Amino acid sequence: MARTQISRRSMLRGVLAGSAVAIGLPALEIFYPGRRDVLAQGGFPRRFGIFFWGNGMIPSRWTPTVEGADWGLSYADQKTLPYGERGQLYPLWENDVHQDVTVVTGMSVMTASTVAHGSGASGIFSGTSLNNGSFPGQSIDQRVADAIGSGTIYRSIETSCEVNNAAALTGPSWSFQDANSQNPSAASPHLLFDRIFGANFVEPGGTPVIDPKNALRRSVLDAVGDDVRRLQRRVGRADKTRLDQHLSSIRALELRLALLDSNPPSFASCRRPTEPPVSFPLDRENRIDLRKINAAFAEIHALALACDLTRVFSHWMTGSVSSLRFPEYEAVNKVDAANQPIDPLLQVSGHHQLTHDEPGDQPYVHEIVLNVMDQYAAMIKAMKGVPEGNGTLLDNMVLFATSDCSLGRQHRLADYPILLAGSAGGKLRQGIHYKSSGENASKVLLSIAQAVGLQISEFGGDAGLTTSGLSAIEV
Amino acid sequence: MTSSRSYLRGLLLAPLLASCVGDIGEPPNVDDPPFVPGAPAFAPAPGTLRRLTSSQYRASIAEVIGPEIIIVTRLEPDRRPPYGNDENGNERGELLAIGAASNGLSASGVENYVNAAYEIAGQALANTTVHSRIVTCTPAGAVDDACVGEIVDSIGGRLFRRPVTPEERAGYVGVARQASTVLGTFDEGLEFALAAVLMSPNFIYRDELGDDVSTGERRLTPHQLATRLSFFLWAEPPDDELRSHADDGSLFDATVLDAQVARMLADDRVRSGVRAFFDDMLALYDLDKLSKSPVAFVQFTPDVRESAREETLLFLEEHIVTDHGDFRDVFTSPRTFVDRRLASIYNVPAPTLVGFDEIVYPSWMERRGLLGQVSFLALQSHADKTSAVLRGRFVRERLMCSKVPDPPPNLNTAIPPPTADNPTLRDRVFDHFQNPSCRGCHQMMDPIGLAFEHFDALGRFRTQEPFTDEAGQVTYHVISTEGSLAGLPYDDAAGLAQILHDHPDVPNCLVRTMYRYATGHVEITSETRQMRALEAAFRASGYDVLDLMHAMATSLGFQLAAPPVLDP
Repeated sequence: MARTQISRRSMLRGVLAGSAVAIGLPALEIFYPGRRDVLAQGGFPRRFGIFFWGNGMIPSRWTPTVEGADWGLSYADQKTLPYGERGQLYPLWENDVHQDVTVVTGMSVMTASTVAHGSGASGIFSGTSLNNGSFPGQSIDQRVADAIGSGTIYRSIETSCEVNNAAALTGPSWSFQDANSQNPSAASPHLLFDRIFGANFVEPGGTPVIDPKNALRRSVLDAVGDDVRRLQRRVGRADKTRLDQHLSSIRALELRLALLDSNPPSFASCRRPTEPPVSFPLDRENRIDLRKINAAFAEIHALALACDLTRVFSHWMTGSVSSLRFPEYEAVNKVDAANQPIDPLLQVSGHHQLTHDEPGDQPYVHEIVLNVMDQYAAMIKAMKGVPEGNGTLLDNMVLFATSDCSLGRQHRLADYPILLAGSAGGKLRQGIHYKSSGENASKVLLSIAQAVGLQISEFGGDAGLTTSGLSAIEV
Repeated sequence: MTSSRSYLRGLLLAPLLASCVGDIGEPPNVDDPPFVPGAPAFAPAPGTLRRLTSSQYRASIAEVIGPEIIIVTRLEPDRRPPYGNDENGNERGELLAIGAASNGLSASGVENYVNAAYEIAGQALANTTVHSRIVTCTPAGAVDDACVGEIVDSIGGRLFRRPVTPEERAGYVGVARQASTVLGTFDEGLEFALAAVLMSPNFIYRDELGDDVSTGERRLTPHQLATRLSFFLWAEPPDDELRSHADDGSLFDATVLDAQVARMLADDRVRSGVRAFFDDMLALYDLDKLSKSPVAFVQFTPDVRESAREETLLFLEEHIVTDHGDFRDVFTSPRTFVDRRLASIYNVPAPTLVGFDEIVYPSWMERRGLLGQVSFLALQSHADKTSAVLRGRFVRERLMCSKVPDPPPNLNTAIPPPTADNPTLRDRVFDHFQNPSCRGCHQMMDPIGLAFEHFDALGRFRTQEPFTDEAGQVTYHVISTEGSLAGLPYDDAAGLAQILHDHPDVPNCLVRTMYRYATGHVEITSETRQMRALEAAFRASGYDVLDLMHAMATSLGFQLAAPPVLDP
């Protein structure tokens, strides 16, 4: 990566010679070689997003009855059915995004099933088995970020609708730079907005005003980088890896400061999103407003991609083993399939517990999955709402939706939930239902990775290894 | 306490039974762990970099820069180490203190440190009180390298917990010089230099790598030792006195070390140290995630989370620091400290309108000690109902240091719904004891968990469990809380508390957890003798936690560090 010493010094001279002035600084490519493709060709970069929820689904109610390009027709006559009797992908039909979504059913995470929830997440996001119970290495989003994200201001962005650390306002994630380095997810839309669209964001067409402090801030980072390098000489292997990551984050901040003084690239759809409220009120049952929080994140992600602030995001809407209590159920006070009254207390229990304790055909769990799919549809619509060229942002990306198991009650790894929205610039087929009979789910990940620009010929390890993508979903 | 302390020292200074580490050489007088049959010779574990936890970071800023500073920036969340075992199959432990010594820092985490540094530096120079505390020289002009150097030495030395090197100082002075030149004032230049110091890895990470002393033995440097002592005992960086003993190297003198540890344990700041340890050991920070339906549990509001955390910490602080109580009594103690919220959950009169005050449970009440508190009963429950598994697992793993294996992932782990024949939780988990694939692990957890069934998912006392039949009729069923642990029968939670009180695994688990917390690593096989020595010391002290802290802080394992593991 190009060092920034020269430009900073010349800028400083400029500042010292007179007052702060708006000047067009060296072309972007000097700092961001990764962007040259986009700028030179006038095209749009490919992007990758993950939409994750915890605790799986119910395969028998998930799989569309129709295969192929007309899978949405599975739901054509379900509008009049009671909410709880609709198929789990009904919300994609209802929101008219079924033609954007390729549904892959019947595939299996092949890796070892040793730890409930962890094994599925490890298998789907790394293609390999857990290593002694913990995530084995780099997750797919971070591998993609290494390939296509290093040229953007933010290498990747992680978010969640759930808070699991109240002080940090962060949430769960399966995004790992390596086994010891998990990326926490931002759980406050407002904090994320502030971070990437706050005072430091320059809207397209706006001219950056050179703030002499930016150059000084880079000098500060230089000094800190020197400290890190000196410390590195003394440490062992594990700490060296930690400090390497620290140092590369420092470098990324230096580059970001450099870019602040440059003219922003003019992507036509780039703008600042609506500023989300500082907090979203809980309902009278102390439950979060999932729909509003998710919508705020969806808008920020869509516009962060539109502005090329990042090319990779992962939205861990709810975490593995999530105990989130979902909003009101339609099935409240109803009876289950066996005509047994549903335990009234169940309606106030958390998602994970419901997947294990709710008897019968699990009407509450089913409604939760419908709710999850509503949020996925909302995120797809947010991406489709950003025009790019003759199409939309969604055409230039893949928004991959999955969970940490299929049937939550059993943590099943067969019949894995796999949905792909977008075609990654025409590389992937959109709007089909491919029904597999137990193929390796890693094949889908390889297809996605190749489609978004990660140059690999195999994905996964041990039983999860694949050397070929899933041709049925490739163009 | 004095007598038990000196008895304890006597024990640890007893004649060496075996030469475990060869010649200790200079510095002398570190107690050698005793011989343990079958255990290998003592050898320390490698030292690591330990990232400051959020609370350690905040305490450092308050101590060094000033309590006036308000840090709004959200710092990288503290996390436990990755789940499960490491690549060698060794346990990783579950403490934030271990995670801080092994987890990597995310990109947003580094960004947050940078933001916090500017925030703190800006406030420090804008606040006249803090300004006069920091700027101890009169600058000769906008650029004054000497004055900046003096401030960097003073503030940087305290933030880094060791003297700033000339090379480092030159870097920061250079930053200040450049900034003062561009921006025109001394203070603005200093602000950037301070920010650089605040975002330096030398501040963010506690270097406990150790160093080779003259005889070739590797141990923590006096400054590293002072840092480890201070964060262990006080949860904050070293004060002037401790630092002066590090500066002149006298901390290597066993008598000085012993006196410093005694001084620190007698200081009120040890209360913060005890709180920080138990917050980590009992994972009380998980109370952040406590969520109950206010319809089912009218007393639950989000404020209960902080109340429950405070109750447990105050209870432990009073028992351990104020009373020098026997640690085992935390299970059987009839008293606790509650505010109005908790009093209503416990169904006792509130002792005070504002804040917390002491209550003593009447003898007929079953509620006792640590495990009668909301921080355990509600946190180790589901949102709507109790869980024998969660409660039992917590006791086994966190308090007894046993490892309960994970359930096989492909198993249907659903607990059957209540029926007229099986209305209570004990009836419903019956299969856990019948099914051979469940029994092995669940026998470790469920009997313990079921002992607490007289406390509902929020921690309210009850003797009956309601069951709603098909017709909507509610019937109430008497809850049985009987069981046995280690062959000893109990009738209810109070009886189990007495068995835990007498169980040797419980104090030994405290020793092990505290050693991990203090040193930032999971003990290795060659530290077995050290663990045994500390267990014996704890026992000999009458289970006085402060005495254990004293023994630990002066132990060999606390002071030595093997060289870092380099590339193979």
